[in-house]
Amino acid sequence: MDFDWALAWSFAGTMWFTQLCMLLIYKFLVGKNAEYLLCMTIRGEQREDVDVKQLVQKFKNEYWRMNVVLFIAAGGYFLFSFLPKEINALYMLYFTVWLIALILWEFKVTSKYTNRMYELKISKGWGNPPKQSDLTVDTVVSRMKKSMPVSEIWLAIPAWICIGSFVWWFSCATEYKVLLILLITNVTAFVLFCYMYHRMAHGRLKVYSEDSEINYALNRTAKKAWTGCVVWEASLLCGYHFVATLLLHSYMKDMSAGIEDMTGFWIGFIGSTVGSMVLIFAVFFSAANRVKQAKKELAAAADFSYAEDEDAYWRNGYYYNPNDTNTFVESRGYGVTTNMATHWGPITKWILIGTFIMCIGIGLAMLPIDFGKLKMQVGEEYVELKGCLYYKETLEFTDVTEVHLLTEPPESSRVWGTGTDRFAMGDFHFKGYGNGKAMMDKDAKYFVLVKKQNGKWFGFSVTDDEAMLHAYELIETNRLSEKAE
Amino acid sequence: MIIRLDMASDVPIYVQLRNAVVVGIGKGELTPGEGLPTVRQMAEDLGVNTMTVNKAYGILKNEGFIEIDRRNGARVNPQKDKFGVFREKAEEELLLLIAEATVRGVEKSEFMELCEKVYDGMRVSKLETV
Repeated sequence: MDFDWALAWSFAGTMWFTQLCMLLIYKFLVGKNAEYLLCMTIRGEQREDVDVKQLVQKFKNEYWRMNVVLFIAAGGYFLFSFLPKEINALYMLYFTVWLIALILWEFKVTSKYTNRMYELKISKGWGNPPKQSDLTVDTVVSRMKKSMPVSEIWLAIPAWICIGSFVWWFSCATEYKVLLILLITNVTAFVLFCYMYHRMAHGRLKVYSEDSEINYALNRTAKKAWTGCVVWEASLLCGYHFVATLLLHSYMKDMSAGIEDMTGFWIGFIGSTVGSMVLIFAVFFSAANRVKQAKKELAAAADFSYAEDEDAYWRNGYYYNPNDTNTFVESRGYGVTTNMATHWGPITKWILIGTFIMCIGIGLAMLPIDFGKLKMQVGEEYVELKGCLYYKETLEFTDVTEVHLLTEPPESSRVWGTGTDRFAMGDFHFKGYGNGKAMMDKDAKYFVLVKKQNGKWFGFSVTDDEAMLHAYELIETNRLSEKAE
Repeated sequence: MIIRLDMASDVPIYVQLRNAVVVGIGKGELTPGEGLPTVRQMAEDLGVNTMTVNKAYGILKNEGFIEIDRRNGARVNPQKDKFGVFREKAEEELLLLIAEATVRGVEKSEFMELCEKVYDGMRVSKLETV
């Protein structure tokens, strides 16, 4: 078997990179300069306490053990080289199962130790928990909502990009249905950003200290940083999506036109992807740093201490505060997180569960593609092809105006449909021919390409060589007799 | 000014809110002319119904602690007790309080000392009211 090492490396590499990103959480949980220790406000001499140190050490041991196991598990991709047959679905399923394991295991370990740290803190009498029934509001800060630091009018930029991209698609790219997925994703992301802006701008303002000036300064900085971040992210992401769509469109057009040099496309695509990703992360980190810096500076200048710690709401490793109507709150790690006590909490949970179910579903749906076979039935006046999933096509001989028997499929780009290493089904642009549909088994010896009366092409291939030749002969005979008549 | 409300208390929220604003004005944490959050902003931040805040603001307005302008929202505007209405109310409430104090064994001097301490904590007497 020709094992696809590049694919295995890319999957394993993605997993290791994901693991590396998750390790950032470790830095905020028990890092040297972490503001909180295991999500709890443990400061100064409290950090030197023997019990605290022991607990942190236990957490470190368990966390690293988990990471070593997951690191080795990610390398499991290379074991697939011993399989007698390449199974694409297995890659997908393995990745999903690994990711679920990573998230659940990480969550289990973190929540276990944050809970223990909270209990330790309470038993030592260090806690200053707010009364569950208390509601606090600073009248000076509350008035701030009248004038938001970053106006929602700025969201008009990504909105126009979204509208513009649809206008462009309807005017000149309707045949490339696959591009519509990108545009719909773009609009979905924009709607999500609008929602985030709304929640961040109009959410409850936080009372950090007894001093209204400090509360005002911190709330204004946080609002400005996060709403500005949302506007920037929305503009960057929508802009990138549109650029990527234009590039893919030109790529598919060039493929159909037979242009082989795609250097420009790849430079543009990789450049815009990497560039926009770097910018998106830079904007996020800049906002998070600005808020952290403001907190630090104000703490040093005004020597304020928090009116009360909110550790009780972070005891499970995530924020759960039924008294807080805010959907998005400042994370004890980095950036913002959701308040799981709001309606967004269950939604987040179900989005996560839904994504996992979808990934597993896709993996399972790919199994018939890996193990299935493209079936062809040749009748007196038609050829019927049945692929996996819902793919089915019938070719009437009377509909054929031109037919070619090729020893391999022509160069083409798929603009819609599905495909694996072995099968490809859907809409194609055939280089040197034109647009059409195809259902092909890449291991087949022959490929039949026919032109229909509507000018579209249809290509098919199955591994049964005799059936292929028989189908070709029938189509050609029929075409010639029709022509003679 | 920071307002704290106890959701578990038997005292209704609008009464707690009214009392908090009056104490804030008395202590000088809310100065005359200072704007209060709009009904909607306050309700959002407290996570309560706008009607609750509206009711509290209505009472404060009727009692002469704030004025409500449709364009600028609520503003602190304490008015002096020109017609002796407050004195009547105070006498009624003090009667109950002093009665309870005597039952509990609080001496007059002790009670007066307590009153003086609380009164001294108020800064509004130094401020000009309408």
